[in-house]
Amino acid sequence: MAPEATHPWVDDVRRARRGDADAFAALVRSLQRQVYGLCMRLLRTDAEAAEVAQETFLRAYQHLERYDETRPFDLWVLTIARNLCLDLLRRRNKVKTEDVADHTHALPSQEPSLEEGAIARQERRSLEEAMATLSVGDREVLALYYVQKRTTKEIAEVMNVAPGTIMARLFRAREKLRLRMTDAQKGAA
Amino acid sequence: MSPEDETLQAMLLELAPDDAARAQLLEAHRQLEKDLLRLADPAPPPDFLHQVMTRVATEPAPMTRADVRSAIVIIGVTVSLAVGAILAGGDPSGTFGLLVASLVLKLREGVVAVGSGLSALWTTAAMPTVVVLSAMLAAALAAFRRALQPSAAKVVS
Repeated sequence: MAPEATHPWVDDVRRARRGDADAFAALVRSLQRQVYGLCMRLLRTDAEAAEVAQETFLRAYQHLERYDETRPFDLWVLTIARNLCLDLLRRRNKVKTEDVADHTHALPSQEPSLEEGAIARQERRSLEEAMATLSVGDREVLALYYVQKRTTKEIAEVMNVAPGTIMARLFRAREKLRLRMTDAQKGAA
Repeated sequence: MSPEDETLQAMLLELAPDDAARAQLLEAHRQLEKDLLRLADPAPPPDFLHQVMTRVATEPAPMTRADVRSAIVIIGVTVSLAVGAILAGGDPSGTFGLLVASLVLKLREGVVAVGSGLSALWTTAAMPTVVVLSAMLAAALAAFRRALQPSAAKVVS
């Protein structure tokens, strides 16, 4: 007997396994923003992020049989995306991100631009710029926690680390970010 | 206090030893968290879904580990049997040709014997033979068709 459908995507996954392209398209549609967003935060370039995000979904499709239905499908796909990003960064010696081109213009915020106006946009841009100078691990944990609103348990699963270490990682990343922003403000003043 | 809380407390104390500095640091972090929570994931390119589905349709799935294992087992068994047969026949270089020739002769004799048997069967009981052969063929085709359909267990795994 098949296991109970515990996650919303289980039916689509089962249909995709039988070769239903529409079901897989529905899965891509529901996850494309999260996957592309994570790739963008880690790789910092539009073209690479789009390429790796596409590759992520292709790998997911080709290895759907390996997916364990008791685990959340989105975390499984995000883990594939993360591993592909880290592989690419390792291959290109881009683990240190200080010299990577600025692509913060492509990263939006949730606030309505009319309400908060140019000052808010400038603040967000400063935040994105400071974030871009952090290490891949720091960017990753901040993006998953604050941007994608993931729980520490989910982040630990994606990053393949103990859940008890995530809050400390977040604190360290936040502290580095705070220092970078303070430095940037001093530099601007 | 959990080990994680202890780690956080230690980091906090290291960064801000006195109460006032600690309160200031925590407030700065709270403000930063508020700003971070406003960030959003960027939208992928408009043709992203189309690109993914095109690649899914055109790029073949790689061989699974099970496929590779099966192939290795089949090749291994075949090669082992062939080598075993050659070695069992004695001197490989001298007797292999004789072994093949005798196999061909035995095969020919077997074909002739089966032909004679079928001929005798046809002359004595043609109708029952036709019925039995038709039933066997139909059963084989039904089994083949069933084997081609993916089972629910295979799909769900």
